[in-house]
Amino acid sequence: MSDALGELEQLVLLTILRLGEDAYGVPIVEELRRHTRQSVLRPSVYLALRRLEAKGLIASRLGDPEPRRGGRARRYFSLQPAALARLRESRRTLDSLWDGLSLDES
Amino acid sequence: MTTRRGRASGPAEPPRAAVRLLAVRLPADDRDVVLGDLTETFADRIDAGCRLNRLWFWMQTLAFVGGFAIARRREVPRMPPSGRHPMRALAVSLRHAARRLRFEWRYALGVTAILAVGIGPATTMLSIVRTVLLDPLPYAEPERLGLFRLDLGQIRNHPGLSPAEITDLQGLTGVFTAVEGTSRIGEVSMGPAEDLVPLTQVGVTPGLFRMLGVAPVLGRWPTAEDARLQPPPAWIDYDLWQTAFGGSEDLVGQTVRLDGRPVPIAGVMPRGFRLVLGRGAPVPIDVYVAMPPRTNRNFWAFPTLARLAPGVTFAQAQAAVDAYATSARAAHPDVYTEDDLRFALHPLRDDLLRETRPAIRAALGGVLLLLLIAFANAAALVVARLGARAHDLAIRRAIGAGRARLVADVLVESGILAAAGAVGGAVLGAAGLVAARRVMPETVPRLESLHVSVDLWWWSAALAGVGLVIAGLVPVWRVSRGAPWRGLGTGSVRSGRAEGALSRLVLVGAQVALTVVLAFGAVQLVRSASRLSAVDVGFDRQVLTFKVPIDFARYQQAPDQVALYERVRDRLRQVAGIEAVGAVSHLPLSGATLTDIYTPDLAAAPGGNLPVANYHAVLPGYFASMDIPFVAGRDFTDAENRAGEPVIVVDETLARSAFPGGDAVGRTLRLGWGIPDSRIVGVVRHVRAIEVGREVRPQIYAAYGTFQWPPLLFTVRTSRAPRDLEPAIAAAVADERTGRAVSSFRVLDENVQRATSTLRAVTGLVGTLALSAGLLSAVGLYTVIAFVVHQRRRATAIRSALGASRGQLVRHHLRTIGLVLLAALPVGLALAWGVAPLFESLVFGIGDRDPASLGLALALATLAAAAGIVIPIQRAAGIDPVVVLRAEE
Repeated sequence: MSDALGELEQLVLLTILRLGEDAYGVPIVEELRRHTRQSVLRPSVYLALRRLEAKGLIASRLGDPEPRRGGRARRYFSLQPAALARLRESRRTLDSLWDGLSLDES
Repeated sequence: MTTRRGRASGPAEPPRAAVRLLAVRLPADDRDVVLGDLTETFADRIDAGCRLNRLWFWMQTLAFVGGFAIARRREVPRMPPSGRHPMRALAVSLRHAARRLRFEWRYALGVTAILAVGIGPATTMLSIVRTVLLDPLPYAEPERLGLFRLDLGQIRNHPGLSPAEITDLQGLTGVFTAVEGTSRIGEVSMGPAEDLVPLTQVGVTPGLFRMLGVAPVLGRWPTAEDARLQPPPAWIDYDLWQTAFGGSEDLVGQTVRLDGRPVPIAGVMPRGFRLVLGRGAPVPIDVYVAMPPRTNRNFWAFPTLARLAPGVTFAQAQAAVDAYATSARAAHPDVYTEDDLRFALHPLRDDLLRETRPAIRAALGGVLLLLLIAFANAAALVVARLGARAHDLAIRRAIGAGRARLVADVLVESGILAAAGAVGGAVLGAAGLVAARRVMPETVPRLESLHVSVDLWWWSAALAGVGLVIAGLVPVWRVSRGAPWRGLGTGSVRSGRAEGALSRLVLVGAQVALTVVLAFGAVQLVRSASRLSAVDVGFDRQVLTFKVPIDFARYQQAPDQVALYERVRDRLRQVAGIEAVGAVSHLPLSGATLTDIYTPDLAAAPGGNLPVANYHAVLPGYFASMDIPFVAGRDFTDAENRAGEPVIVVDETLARSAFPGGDAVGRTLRLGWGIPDSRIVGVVRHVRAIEVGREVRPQIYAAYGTFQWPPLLFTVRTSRAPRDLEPAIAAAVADERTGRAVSSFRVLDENVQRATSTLRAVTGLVGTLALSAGLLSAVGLYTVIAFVVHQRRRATAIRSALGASRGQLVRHHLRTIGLVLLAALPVGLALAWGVAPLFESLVFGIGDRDPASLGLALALATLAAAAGIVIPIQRAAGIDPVVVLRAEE
């Protein structure tokens, strides 16, 4: 159970997948906010990133220090193969559950 | 120009305070990334023309600080234990301490052993003190029970009242709810004439058991009616019920033959019931009979107890009794001829413990000293090791361990050692208790209820707690002072000074001083005991004695008794192995005495402040059998004895004081106990009859024919092992048809031993304690000096390398030790001087501050110290500079 993916974690994984090479903290939060159309608690995103890294689903590397960041480096995230497998499986589950269902949006 | 700080630092810079807060509170892994991202977003927002950006940054800061704090609490395994939760911190401390102690097991074992050696004897002693001194007597509301002692003329503290006085005191109903008396303990013979069993018997007034609140386990309470029955019914001891009657449930109502009469048994007393009648251990009594009422006023032979009425204090009761004494003296001038009459009412327990208390106090004092020494010793060891751990502590402090954490660690470690010491102490204490029951003299009251109980473990735990505080406090103080980590460089080449040596030396000094005190106590007691055992008691200690009661129904008249006793004596003289036979009413050092006035002034009125002496009734031949030499004159003759001639033998003390001219023989004395004026026919050596240590009263011997005081105790000097003759003696006495069983066989040496047993027991105990103290002090000095030497090894090595001789090195080390001893020995001497008066009642034959003992104590303590320092100093002097200096490169 401990390595079950939470909703936020899945969203973060998908966001990283969408951002590709440019996936670091600032755009991840922006992208999430754009898609979910609601405010995202920044610390929970960072904590989710820590958890995902601890589970071996994502890897990170440091970029170069930047003056705009007060001389600090960016940390770029990328998906590990296990993450892709988990996302695929999650999608399959959701698809099969949704199969034949329709919820009228009103 | 602007006045706002925020603008001054540039519009793209987030609030510094918020940045600092994040830098401090975020985990190191995430700090830079989060700060970088926030700063970047902050700049983006400014570029995008957003407002309130600084407020936004603060909100983000607080969200991150809060969010990460909550996450840290959840993600326990990710972080090392914070140590902030007390139980977790304790568990960690315990684990660390256990690991350290396992590694340094020799140290742990040493401290544990030292604590156990201190705690063990202390728990034993505290258990004894509790049982003997503190436990209430096994009666109902025992604190309201008192015992009367009579002061009449020169007779002091006499533990007996007359029957008429008991009746009078029973009339003080507002003061006492009950006043009850007993007779002296006597002996009866149980069973048929051909198979007599000797038993002890005491008469009691009917209300005694009820007053004590002790109900018979079988049968009923005694009643006033019982006392008028002939023969009166008997209540028997539990043990007798079990042994002689097999614990039969329907014993009550049956009769048993006592002294030839069928006596109905009315009840059985509870198991372990003892009648406490003042000083010393109560004697087991087999048979209690209801005592017939008497009215005489001049026969003070009935130990009397009273129970205070509710709300009445002993002082108030004493005042009422004093008023009674005044009126009694006025009403009966013929009886109370002496100047003063006082019935002193003592709380029963105080009276019981009067002679035991000083001895137990002395022993307790010795035990507490040993405990202090052990604690000081353990503390010194703990401190010494702490010094050695200074480096370790300094590193832990440097990598962030809080002061409170280190103090807690030291305390936890001390706690483990104290707990181990407590267990060891409890085991030693239990062993000590078992040994004490064997060794302690039977004169100590209530020893029979001494046993290994739960509270022994409590004592031990409590003492270990005290030990923890004492042995743990010094290191905690040093830790919290921060001394151990003053510099990581301690112990380097530059530092030749021993860290914390001073506090250790102070502890060692304290041990040496306390050792002086204990050694002094032991030396005083050992010298006293040896002097006491060398005392010439004035009689042959190997004389065998036994009681020969007679059937008074058959031998009612004095001449019949005299003739019977002479026949028994002459019959015994024929028994093989018996060399001499005599008989006496009161044996020396038996605790029984008979005291009254005497005077050489035949015109003196009776009473007044006349001198008193101890009286004895004897058969001719007594002095020869006891090997008591005549100084002048001769023994009684059988003819004088039979005729009841008014002749007496006195001891030299009386002869000297009554007739300073030295011509006592032939002079006449006026005597007490209704004995007619008698002529002195002989003067014998004084016999130590009451105390081994000193002459108490002069002695008067009257022939049994003049002064009947049955039953006589026979004294027999034998040519072989005395106790082997018992069957032959019993048979010989039975041949003369006394009608009673011979009882109480004893060799007189047992009396001497018992009279000196308290001193010998205390001496043995304090001697053992002093020995332990000396050993502990030596061990304490050894460990501390060894540490000092070890810590100074660099300095020593450098000195040695620079050419210091072995002698110079030894002298260098001895200087410190010498200073400690110079300070400690006088302190110990002063302490010994101060406590010396506490031993006074136990010291015999020497002053209570005997200089020789003080000197010997100093010498012994110095010897112990020397034994402790010899090895480490030898080792220091033997240091090889090359090895030492290379080892610490």
